[in-house]
Amino acid sequence: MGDVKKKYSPMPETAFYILYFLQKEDHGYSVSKQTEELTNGEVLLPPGTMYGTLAKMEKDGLIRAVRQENKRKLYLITELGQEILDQEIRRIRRLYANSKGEKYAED
Amino acid sequence: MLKINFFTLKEFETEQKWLEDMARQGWVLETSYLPCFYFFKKCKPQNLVYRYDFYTNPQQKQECIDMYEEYGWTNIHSMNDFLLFRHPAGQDIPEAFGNDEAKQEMIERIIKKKLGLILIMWMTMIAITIFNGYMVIQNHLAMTSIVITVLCCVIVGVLLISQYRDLKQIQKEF
Repeated sequence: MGDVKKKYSPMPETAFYILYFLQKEDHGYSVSKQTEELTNGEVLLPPGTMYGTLAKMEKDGLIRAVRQENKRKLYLITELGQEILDQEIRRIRRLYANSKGEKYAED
Repeated sequence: MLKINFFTLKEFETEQKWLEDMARQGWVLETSYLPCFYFFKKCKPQNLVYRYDFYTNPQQKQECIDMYEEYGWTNIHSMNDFLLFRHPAGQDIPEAFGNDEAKQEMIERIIKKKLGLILIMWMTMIAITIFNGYMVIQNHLAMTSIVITVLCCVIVGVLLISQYRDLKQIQKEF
């Protein structure tokens, strides 16, 4: 468990967006579209990256496949995944506060 | 039309570019066979994008194809755990891999798999050599057989080392 947490801290931007959008049940292509929209096209999740990251995260237990809709596989974040995502968000907040020369105080 | 061209594993990007050049000259890839045979069909000159991907687990093959198809890619064929995809080029060329990390991971997966196969081969060769050695001592076999098997061991061993070096180099490059 500890190893998995370490492996994803910090995590690549692509992994962050996938995990973030899988807080609600969704499939790869839809996550990619939402990411593109939310980041104004700055973060792209092409199929190779999407497929590879989903497979890795499922193996590591961060997400799980919930059901199949035609050819689409729908995923959802797991408890462990949520924990890792929250920890990453805290890290990014700290980084942001520090980038302005401020100390990060947890709220 | 059959074309013969040889690319190594690491040159998959050069190979993709070559296939794209062929499409611009009016030749679309129909299928290809290892190690170096490519079959093209005449078409109108067009801008196509070719991308390779690789899967480790046979169950994942269809999932990988489905994912690419959803993004609008066409699967041309699969061979040896490789999948080749095609996409008509738009204003911006779609990438299969968003970052070098994903690309590095793909190459690492391929080499690790190859490394595993060669290792098994090498261990088998060593086992055969030991067995042959025993048979020679027992006077059931001529000395030449042991020379041949030792030679095979050395060749496979060299292959193993070169693959391992490739892996280390790729891990450093990215």
